[in-house]
Amino acid sequence: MECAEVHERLADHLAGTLAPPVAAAFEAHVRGCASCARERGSLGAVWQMLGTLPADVPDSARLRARMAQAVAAAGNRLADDGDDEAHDALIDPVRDVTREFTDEADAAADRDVSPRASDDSSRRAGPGVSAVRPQAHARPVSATPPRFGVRSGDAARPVRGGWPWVQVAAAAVLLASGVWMGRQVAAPARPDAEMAALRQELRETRELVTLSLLQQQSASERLKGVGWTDRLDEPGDAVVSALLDTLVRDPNVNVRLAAVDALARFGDRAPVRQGAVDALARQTSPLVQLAMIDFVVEVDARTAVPVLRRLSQDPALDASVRERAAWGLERLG
Amino acid sequence: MLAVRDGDLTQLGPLFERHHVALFDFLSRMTGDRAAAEDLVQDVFLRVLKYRSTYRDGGCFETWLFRIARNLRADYFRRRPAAAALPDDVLDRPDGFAGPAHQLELARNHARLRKALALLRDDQRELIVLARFRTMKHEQIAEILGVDVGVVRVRLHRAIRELRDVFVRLPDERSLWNVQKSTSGLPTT
Repeated sequence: MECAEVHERLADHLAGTLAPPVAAAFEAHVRGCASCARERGSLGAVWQMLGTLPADVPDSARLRARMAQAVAAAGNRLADDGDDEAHDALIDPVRDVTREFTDEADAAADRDVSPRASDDSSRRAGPGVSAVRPQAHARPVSATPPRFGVRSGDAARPVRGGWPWVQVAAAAVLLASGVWMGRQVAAPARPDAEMAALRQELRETRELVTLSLLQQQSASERLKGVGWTDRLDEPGDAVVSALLDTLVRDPNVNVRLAAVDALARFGDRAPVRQGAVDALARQTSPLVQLAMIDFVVEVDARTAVPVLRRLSQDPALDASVRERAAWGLERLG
Repeated sequence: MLAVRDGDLTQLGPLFERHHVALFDFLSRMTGDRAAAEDLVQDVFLRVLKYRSTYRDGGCFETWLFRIARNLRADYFRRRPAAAALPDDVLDRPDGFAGPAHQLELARNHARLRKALALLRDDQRELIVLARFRTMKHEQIAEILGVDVGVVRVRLHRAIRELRDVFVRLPDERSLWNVQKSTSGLPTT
């Protein structure tokens, strides 16, 4: 076997689909050819690493419910087109799927008392590219119209599909800013109370936008939400709580790191210091652990000492985390 | 699928149950967008329904399904600006790792690998996703792509090689993070 053929067979070799005689010839060549051995080694390493990437798993219950809705809509179109047989064939499975999902959703609603848990489902909900969406369809498919894929309360939550809501809030910020600036420049002096009310309104609207962005599905949008906290001089407890919540629960390490930086401004607040200590104890990402150790040291959070001690002695943790925790202990101790 | 084609549409449900997870994984990796992948999975099965009469006896259903999925995915990319072929937050995956150094290293490599995959040409990423993540045989991939199996072998080899080259050129997450920390005046590790 020559080098060219080895390259041609490399994909089969990686997939393990070479026939035994070909595999033997392949191995014989690679043993005697440093160039092909290097190629096999480096591509094999990448191939192996690809195999360790976790699969992207869908939210099957939601997909199933969306399919039920979409198929029902398709069934209605078939009936409209006069294909009654196909329409009838579609309706029963739709009812079954819908019933199954509705029961599941009810059970989940009973279980789901944590606001954050329900936020996760709203984050995942999104319109994307399809023309068919889970929504009330034009024609009921059964005597009792099913609740396709919409959990109670979903409509009120900010979701990716809820952009108009965010846009309205952003527009309100701009409007309030314009009104405030206009009054500053052109209008006669207003009583302090009115100005304070306008400022309060502006601040509350900004907080609303921030909180909304922090609930978005996209990590980029949540990062923007963390960035919006810079625009708030004195953010209320809701925003600070949302940042702390992000720090503990956000699935994206970059968003959590940004939340650490954003919270640094509020390090003088006792709840922030305590919240950071609690969050440090629950972190699993070494990168965030390192950033938070720096944070608790920077804000002089003495209550972090027991957590730092535990981290510095935990053999299961990354060595750099243990070292940084020991450094933090020295600083705070 | 033959039952669906022949009018027993109640069999669409079992087909969905059997294939939607694999289809979602393929589309999610190809688009880098879970919401879009969900929409596309739904659209794929609606097309199965719509074009059920074109399904041929003896054909592999999965191959037919993935052909539909590729077409829809291609439409999806055509509707998006070229610069936004994959979202910026393609690294959006729960990191969820803890513990020993090798796990930290693995997580860093995963982040780089996802980024490298996202930077590949669409056709190269597709080959890798089908061959590695969907573990399809080269013959089946050739059928889905409508090319000779030899072409699949050569292109796949080039795609893995390109992935390796992109991967080694990317800085790892940790060093990026340290750069950010040092420029922001915060202590580095």
